[in-house]
Amino acid sequence: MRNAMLKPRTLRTRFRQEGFLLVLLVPALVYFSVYHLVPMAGMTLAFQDYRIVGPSQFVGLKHFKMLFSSPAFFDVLKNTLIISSMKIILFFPLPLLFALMVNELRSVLLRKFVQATAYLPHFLSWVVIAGVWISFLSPSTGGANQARGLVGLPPVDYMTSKSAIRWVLFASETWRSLGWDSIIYLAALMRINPNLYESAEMDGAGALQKAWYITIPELAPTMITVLILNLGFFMSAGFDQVFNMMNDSVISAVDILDTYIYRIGLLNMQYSFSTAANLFKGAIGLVLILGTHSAAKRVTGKGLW
Amino acid sequence: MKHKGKPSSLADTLFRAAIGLALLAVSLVVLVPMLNLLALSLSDPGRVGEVTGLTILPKGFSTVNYRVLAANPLFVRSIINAIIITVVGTAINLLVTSMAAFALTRERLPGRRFFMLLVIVIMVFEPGLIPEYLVIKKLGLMNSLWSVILYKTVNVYYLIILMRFFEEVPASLIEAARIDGAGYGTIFMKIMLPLAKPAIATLGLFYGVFHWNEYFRASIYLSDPDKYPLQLILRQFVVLDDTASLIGSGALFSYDEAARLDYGALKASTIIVAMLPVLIIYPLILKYYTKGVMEGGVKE
Amino acid sequence: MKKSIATIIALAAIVAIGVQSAGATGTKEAAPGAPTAPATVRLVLKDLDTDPNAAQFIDLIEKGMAEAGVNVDIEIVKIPAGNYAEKLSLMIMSGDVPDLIYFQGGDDKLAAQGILEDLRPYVNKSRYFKSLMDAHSVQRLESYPYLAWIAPPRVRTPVIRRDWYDSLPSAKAVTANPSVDTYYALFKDLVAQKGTKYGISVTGATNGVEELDAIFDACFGITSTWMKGSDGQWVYSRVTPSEKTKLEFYAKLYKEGLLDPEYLTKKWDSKEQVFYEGKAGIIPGVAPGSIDVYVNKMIKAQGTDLVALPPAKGKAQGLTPFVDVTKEARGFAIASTSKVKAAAFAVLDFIWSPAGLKIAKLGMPGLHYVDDGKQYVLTDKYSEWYNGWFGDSFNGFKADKPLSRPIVTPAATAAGDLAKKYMMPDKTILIPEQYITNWDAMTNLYKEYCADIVTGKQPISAFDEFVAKWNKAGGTDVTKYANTILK
Repeated sequence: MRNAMLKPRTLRTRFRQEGFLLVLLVPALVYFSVYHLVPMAGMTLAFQDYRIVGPSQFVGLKHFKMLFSSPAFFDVLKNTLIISSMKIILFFPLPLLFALMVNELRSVLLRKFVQATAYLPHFLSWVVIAGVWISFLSPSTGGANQARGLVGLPPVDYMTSKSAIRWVLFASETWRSLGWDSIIYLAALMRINPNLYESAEMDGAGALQKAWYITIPELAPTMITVLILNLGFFMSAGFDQVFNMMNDSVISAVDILDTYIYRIGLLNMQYSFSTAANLFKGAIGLVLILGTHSAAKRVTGKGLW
Repeated sequence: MKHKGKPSSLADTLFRAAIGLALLAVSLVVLVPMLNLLALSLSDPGRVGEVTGLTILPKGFSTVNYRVLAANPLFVRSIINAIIITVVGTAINLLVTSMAAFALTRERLPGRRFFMLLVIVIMVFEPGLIPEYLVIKKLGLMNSLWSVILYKTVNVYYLIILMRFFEEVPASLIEAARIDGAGYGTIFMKIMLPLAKPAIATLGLFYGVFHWNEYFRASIYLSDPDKYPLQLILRQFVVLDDTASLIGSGALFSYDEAARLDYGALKASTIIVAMLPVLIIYPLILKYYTKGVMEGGVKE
Repeated sequence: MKKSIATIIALAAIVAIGVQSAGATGTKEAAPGAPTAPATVRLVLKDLDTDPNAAQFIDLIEKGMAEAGVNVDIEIVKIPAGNYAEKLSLMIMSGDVPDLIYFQGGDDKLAAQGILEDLRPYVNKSRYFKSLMDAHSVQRLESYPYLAWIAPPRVRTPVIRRDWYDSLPSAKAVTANPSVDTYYALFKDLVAQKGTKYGISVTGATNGVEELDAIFDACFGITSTWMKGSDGQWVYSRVTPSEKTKLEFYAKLYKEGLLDPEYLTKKWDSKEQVFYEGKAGIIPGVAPGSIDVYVNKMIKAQGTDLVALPPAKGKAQGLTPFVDVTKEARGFAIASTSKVKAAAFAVLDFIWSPAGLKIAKLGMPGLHYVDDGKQYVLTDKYSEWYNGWFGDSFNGFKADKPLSRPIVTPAATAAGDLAKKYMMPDKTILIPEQYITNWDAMTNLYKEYCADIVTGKQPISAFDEFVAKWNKAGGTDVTKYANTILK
């Protein structure tokens, strides 16, 4: 066996040895074929007019043209890009920071308390969270404006303010996901060899330096992975959240691709249209992932794989 | 994770104190609205009007909302369904995902690049509801719990995260094992899995929560009410505002009492009930995080 | 021998005639000469499959129909929970098409593909259904014959608490002479004398200013979605000078605190809440259905019932939403591929017969009502019974014994009467496919400008800006198209 690894191997030998790996992969492949690949063949619906009775007609790029044809399309796209960027890029360091901070806590009690509470909001649906935040931001009875009143500031209606609403989306998303998203980093932190820290301390490193020179580089692969994966979903800026928090005054500021697709596609029963839209979103996501992956690989030697 | 070594300097202590305060603030910001919901759900229905956004303790005390939920004939059944779906689903998830992640991280996997690309494509392209529905139908899985259990058997996002964790197992360990004559199977079972315990635990948490909260697929594929998982029943209260189904617990109340129930408080209690199992299980998972680093230590 | 053959032929003839008179169109459900096996009608109705009384309900219907001479076996089709329209369309699109189908949206695409049967012949031959239809239902069936439904027109009326109504002269003034001025005075009085935070609140989050329009659209001259100007050209009502004047009035209400300052984020439950708490003096709601709910809740909350107010009178008078007379928004359809069409329609006709109405409106005997000999006593559990399974109208309902209490609260009935009196038939077009995305953008423009103008973020002059943008986004083209369709 040990000699076999040193000789160049024939294809057959390779298959025998690595065949086992393929076997391990089979269940996942079966799942993918059934739940994803076969339905994906149905994405040809994007190029057809769906008919229940009788064959669907081929219509080429008609639905894509429809997607781009709305006079509001560029605003919608712009909102999607801005909100997504805020959520993916601006938000990105926060769970990491949170994990680092929790990691620094000496008091086990406090640490357990913080860890146990931080992830709770993740379980609330946006229907509920929207209600909570709308209430909280109410100009008349909400906590936020009451706080402003305490320091002598006049109340502001954040929910209907075109300039503030995206920040409301950002803040509520942070509130919801900060704790939960930090779990991955906490798990990764567990893997770091404590000896590294010990040697650093003996060299006189303080907390900040340990974080900067050890923790972050060790976490870098996880961070990059998370970032690249999230970019794959760049075109989905968060339907549930926007849908529940949108009101008439802020349409032009927060109408995103998904809410637009929802209105046209579902309410008008245009299934081909939604399929075309999903194809579009997926294509952009793919390009983004592969692009950042190659870039990361060139810069750090490691991308997604 | 404890740092041993020299006692910290003043700067360090202040720094830690500042962090502690900041985190405490974050926890409170998160905790208060949740306690508020809890208080609302436990308040006496007549006094619900007194509950503001900042109330933490219930006004009066009444378990009527929870009794209403429990009295729903489908309630207990739906919890059992949810548990079945979650436990079976998560077990399958972890098995299939870890096997696939292991295979994909072995450089020698034939067609590795191809599979990686395939997996990414699958992640970003959402085929849409109707094709998936048709496939489930063709497979004869309609109205079967399996249609829900098998949904997202492999979540590509989680798969790739797990791959990342697998890659961090030092190559030297693996080499050592191969020299000792271990095949891929042994490496997988005796080295990878034990070392990646925190990752597996994390994925177990993610998949578990995912199954527990999933209602949409259940709503499409299940037509027998006694197959409905918990979230689906709860949703009918919150989203569809289906008072009729809750008054199916009519045996408990007279018409007047039922009409006096505060709807908002009832919704709050459904939310609390939905979250309860996760609240209980999460601390158990946290234990894994501290254990994992002790076992399988690597001396470099 | 001859006698038995004659008997059999006679029986077959009777059966054949019986089946024919139930409304068949020429397709025979049973082979002539054979004893009729009950026709199986597959029915799908939202929430019926999960209702605990469904089996008994269907049983009563089948028995009632048998007594009337039509044998059917109604099979309830199970449908997964959630958004009904979505689940139904999924089911049909995958090829599973029931016989009698309740639709709540999504039927037009199916009708366009020929999947739904033209129901006019059945209605015309019906014994009860046809006679109970209201004017708007008749019009709708004529122009879109695929859905059958008997329900009151879905318009909103404003309501106010009776105790306040009785003690405020300005409230009585509104009933006597409803106008912009009397309503304005009433709003002010509510704030000044009754301590409300604002005069009126509406569900702005989902409906914008629609609920205000229920009171004020007509008095400012807006009576349908598309209106014919004095130059003979059709124009979209929301871009007319009348709309501008109306919005100016709304902005005034908002500015003076008479309209809920947070109406834009109010959902239906928070709107109701401020009403029961006494923060809002008036709220609009769909009559009679929602009004009935409000009355019951207000009685529990404040011990007073409600009074429905008439819409303001000005250039015209009426309640909104404009009643679509081109098509039912919901209703029953029969699949064109069904083999038991006549039997399916017979079910509908039976429900609207006195015997059927008794079952549909009173519920299960012994459970929802009790016959004490002299009257039908509605039990505590009556509120659990949904009496609108086949349509919320009470047309033709006359129980053979008096009821212990009215099913619908008097206030709601009064609101329903107002609704029928002041409903405004709509003149509108279906937006064709090539303009769907334009129309979506144009609608959003209206919503946003409306919200900004009413809340004072933009001055009323911004309205002209809105009209210009609206035209540019496709308004000019759609208007041109509309003028080719509307007469």
